[in-house]
Amino acid sequence: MINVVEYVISDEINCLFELPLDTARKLLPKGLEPVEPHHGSALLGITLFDFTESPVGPYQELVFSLYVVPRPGLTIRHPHAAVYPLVVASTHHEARQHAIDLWHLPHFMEDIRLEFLQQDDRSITGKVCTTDGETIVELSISESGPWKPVDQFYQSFQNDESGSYIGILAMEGRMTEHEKGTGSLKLYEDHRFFEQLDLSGLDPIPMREMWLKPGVEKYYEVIKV
Amino acid sequence: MATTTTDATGFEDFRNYDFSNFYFGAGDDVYETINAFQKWWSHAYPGAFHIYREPLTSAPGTLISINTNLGEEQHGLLNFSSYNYLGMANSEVVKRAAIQAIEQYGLGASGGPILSGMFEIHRQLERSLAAFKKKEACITFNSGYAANLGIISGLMRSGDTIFIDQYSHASIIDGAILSKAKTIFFRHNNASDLERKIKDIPGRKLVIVEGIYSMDGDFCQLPEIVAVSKKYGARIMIDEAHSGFICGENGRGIVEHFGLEEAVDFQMGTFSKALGGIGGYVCGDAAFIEYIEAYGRSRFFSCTLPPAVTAGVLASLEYVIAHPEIRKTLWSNVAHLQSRLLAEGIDIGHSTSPVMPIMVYDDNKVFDVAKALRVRGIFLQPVNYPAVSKGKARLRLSVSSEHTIDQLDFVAQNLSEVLKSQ
Repeated sequence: MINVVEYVISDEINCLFELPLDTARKLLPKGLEPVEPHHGSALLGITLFDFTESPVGPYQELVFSLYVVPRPGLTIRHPHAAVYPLVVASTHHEARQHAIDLWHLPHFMEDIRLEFLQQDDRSITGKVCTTDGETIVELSISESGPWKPVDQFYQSFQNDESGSYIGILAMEGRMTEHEKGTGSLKLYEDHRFFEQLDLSGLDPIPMREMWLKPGVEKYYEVIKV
Repeated sequence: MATTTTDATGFEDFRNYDFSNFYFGAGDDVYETINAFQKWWSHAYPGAFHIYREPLTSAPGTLISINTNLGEEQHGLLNFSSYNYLGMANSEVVKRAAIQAIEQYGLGASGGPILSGMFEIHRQLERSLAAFKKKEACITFNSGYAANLGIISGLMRSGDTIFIDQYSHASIIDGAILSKAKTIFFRHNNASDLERKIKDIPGRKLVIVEGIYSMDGDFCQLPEIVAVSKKYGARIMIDEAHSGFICGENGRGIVEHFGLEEAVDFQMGTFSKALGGIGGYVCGDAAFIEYIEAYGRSRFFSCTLPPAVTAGVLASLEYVIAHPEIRKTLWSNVAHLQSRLLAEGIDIGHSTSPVMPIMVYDDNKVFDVAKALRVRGIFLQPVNYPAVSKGKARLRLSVSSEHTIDQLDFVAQNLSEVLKSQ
């Protein structure tokens, strides 16, 4: 039996952006290879979560991650994809410490504020700033497609000073996704959030836009490698 | 918090995965990926994918016979999935020319084009194509795929930059990869995005587009693309696989349609669509062709096209040139079916050509629609992610000059009924 930690989601918006392979490789530790959706480009995921239930209560989260080559055969269930979280930012200290202690996730150490502006069932904007009001990112999804049930399995490669880990997690819920390139991204790269995050050459038009509502993130375990 | 366990492979519902989930894999052994794919495929093939790769037992005409992968013989299926736009694949004139060439030359060329595999029939075809395209020279390849590989990798090098429309065919992308040049994709048919990406790039640049995009059936916005390419000193290559011999006043492709025959540097195409054979070609100035003849490795290191195929393609080309009425019939059929489909409220995207995507959007439902059509005697294949973008699943319909008005009406009526019933 594996203990599963569940995070209940009211809204999660996740957009995938292409960035040069060379840029991605500089952000990855040795041994991880970016996936290459188009020749010469890697995939950056920017994800905004609104968790309504978790072991540390409700909180919100911003995650920048690179999509990397998964390890088939490592888990009984085949991964749909694998990610390497570059930086995670949370609205609460408790949530941040929980994710660091349990999942070894790299964090921006300040609290953030995340505001979702939803016009209708077809478009949503997430705006993230620090508590001083300085904006980090604005992310919009538009023209959503049909809503469908999803059950996707991920590997998440993480490392900190204690070692390297593979996190095993699943995302379940109702999702709409498309590749119309109608969403938008505004990064405020002068913000200190980006001090260690060189995203040179990032294409600000999303390759894919995904919106989960509602859903649950199930974090199964981390394996030390 | 709940405590649960996961012990399922996740493949029980094969529709929860797709081909993209088995492309990348790290670890110690490639069989970790192969085995995962095989487990998924053991569910996916009987569940849906068996409708692909089904062998035809007849010529690829408008009515075909098939041995299904479930062991059934199906006869008299109405074929709307073939590239045989002008009905040349099975024409008597083509078959006679091929048979005659087999009598003269035998089956294969038995050599590559440089040493021993170049026959007079190959040179005849190249001269005829160059004359037809009003270009100085032409060379042929074993397939359209090989042509794009050989042209692009023969021309571009590490340090160069290639700009490719995001909806381009795999052979263009693979040619770019093989060339080792930097590759930049621009948004489909979007000259503004091309300009945004090309304007600050120094050095040798090549912009590659297609005449008609093979999954969406829309024309290349060539005038705008050419203007941006010229503005920034890029050479332009066009793949006329689906537009060659059917577009333009004389069938010389999209370049003729837009009056840009001189503006586009390298004009590539295939023999496997409108001409009903197999092979690829590129036309251009003599210096360019001689350079590709020297450095186009996919051609250089392959056995030359079989003489019988070459003779058949040459006969097909001559027939198509001499009978422009076939093209007119094709476009008349396209107009008729388009109007019927639109009248039925069927979404065909932005198609303006014999390639008509019947947009279903749902990656799973598209299989159900294809199967329901098969029951009604219509062979129309589904295409879903990752062959097309997420959420852009469609049936890929191709119109031929050989289709009768009754057949076009039949498919429109049945599509309407099936789509409404799903």
